[in-house]
Amino acid sequence: MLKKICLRLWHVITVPAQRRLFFKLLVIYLVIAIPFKTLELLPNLAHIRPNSALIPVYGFLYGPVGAWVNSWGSFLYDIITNSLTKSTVAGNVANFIIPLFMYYMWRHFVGTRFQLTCWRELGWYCLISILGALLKVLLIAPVVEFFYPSVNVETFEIAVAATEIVFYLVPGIAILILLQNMYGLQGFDVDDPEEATVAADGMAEEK
Amino acid sequence: MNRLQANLCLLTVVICWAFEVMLQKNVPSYVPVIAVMTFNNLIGCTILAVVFWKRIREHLNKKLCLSVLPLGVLNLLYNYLNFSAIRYLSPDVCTFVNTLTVVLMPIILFIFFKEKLQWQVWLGAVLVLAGIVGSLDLSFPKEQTIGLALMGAYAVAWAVYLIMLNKLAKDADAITLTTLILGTVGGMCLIGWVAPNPQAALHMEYSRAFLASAFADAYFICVFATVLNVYTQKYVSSLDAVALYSMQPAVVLIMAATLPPVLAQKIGLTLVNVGCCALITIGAIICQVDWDALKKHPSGEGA
Repeated sequence: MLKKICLRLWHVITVPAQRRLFFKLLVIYLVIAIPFKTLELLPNLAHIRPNSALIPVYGFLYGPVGAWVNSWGSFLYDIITNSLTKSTVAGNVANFIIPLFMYYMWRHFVGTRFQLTCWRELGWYCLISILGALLKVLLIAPVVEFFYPSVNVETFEIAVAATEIVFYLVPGIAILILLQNMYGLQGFDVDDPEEATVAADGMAEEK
Repeated sequence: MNRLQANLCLLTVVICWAFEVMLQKNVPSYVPVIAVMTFNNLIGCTILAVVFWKRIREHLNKKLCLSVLPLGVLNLLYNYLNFSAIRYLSPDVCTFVNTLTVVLMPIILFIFFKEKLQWQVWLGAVLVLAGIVGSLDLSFPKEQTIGLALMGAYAVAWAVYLIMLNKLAKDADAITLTTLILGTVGGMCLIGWVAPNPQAALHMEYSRAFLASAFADAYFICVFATVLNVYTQKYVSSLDAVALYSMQPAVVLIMAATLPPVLAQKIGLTLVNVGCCALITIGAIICQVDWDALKKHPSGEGA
């Protein structure tokens, strides 16, 4: 499955339809993110980013495209709002890895396309979200500790984990349910032959 | 959308409302409440209109526009009453008294809509009422009595609003309906704010903090929470929705206990508060559970 995911990540760069989707999702990401710039969690270091809710949403519904959008969206947000720090790259890497991690875990443990229709699926979603938030802390905190020794790392870790978990669970769940019910969006499936054909056609068209 | 999904969506709406306090902290104190409401609603309406213009145009009709007018008036009225009541009540009491609607809703449904309700609903309402009474200062100081009267009026307005919204949302498109409600409320607030003193609106300082807060509120509360709320009304009864909204004290208490102060509303974690919150939450759950389905599927599948 990892090989297929890597191939789909490559498709986002090479296939026009995937690129268009990438830009569309990126615009939505930035439009939602920018107004929240003023809500500081740790001054000059951590802002409240409701866009964290888009990590599971983009990850489960769009897979690799979602991973690219989360990473680039977070990076562009930092540039636009003049919030670039030495730990920005770690944040971008985390935002890229976590949607893929969530998708991979869901496929591995639940085995179906993403949906939240029963307690079992909800339980798995919560568990995967908490693990995703902890992974984010693991990826960012050492970098912050290295570049900013004066920052209380423990406070930083708690703040990041708490806000990530809150946003993955609270708006995250509702956005996923709403999008799947209102627009009939299906969870991303790396094995979906239709999606694979679209990607392959796009590549052939480009060639 | 199944029952579990609908409940999760309504619970999210409640949590979003609890987070609104955090967004309001950023609003400078010189900005009047009516200006905040004007901006939040009009920004929310504009975002929806721009993004979903095609969809809205498809579903828009004269009948729907006329049906939304009383909803807009009620929305404005209950918000005004709520803001006014907050001045007279402590944050703790205010959080608990907010759930009065779950007590009044069955009464309104029974008297005015002749709906037959299960005895569990009445039991739940009594428990919620006990939780509210437990949170009050029983010597009834004047300030609290005024606050309670305003809260009572607010609860009636909100209950009627929810019953009407629930009926209207069953057939209407959620996004079109939300856009119309936000536009109506925003428009009425604009008139109420600008008409008495046009200079005030022109000379008010539009700081970055205020505008950012207005956008954040518009996204999260006006657009996201309202669309979610309206969309979910298709799948639940007004009573179910109100019962879920009554989980708010529990949500606020849990947030106060677990989240950093920047994210949570200040509420005392006293034994009385926890006890009242437990009574209200149990009452709300009793109201919300589908007892008939539970009898058919004792494992809880139907609930």
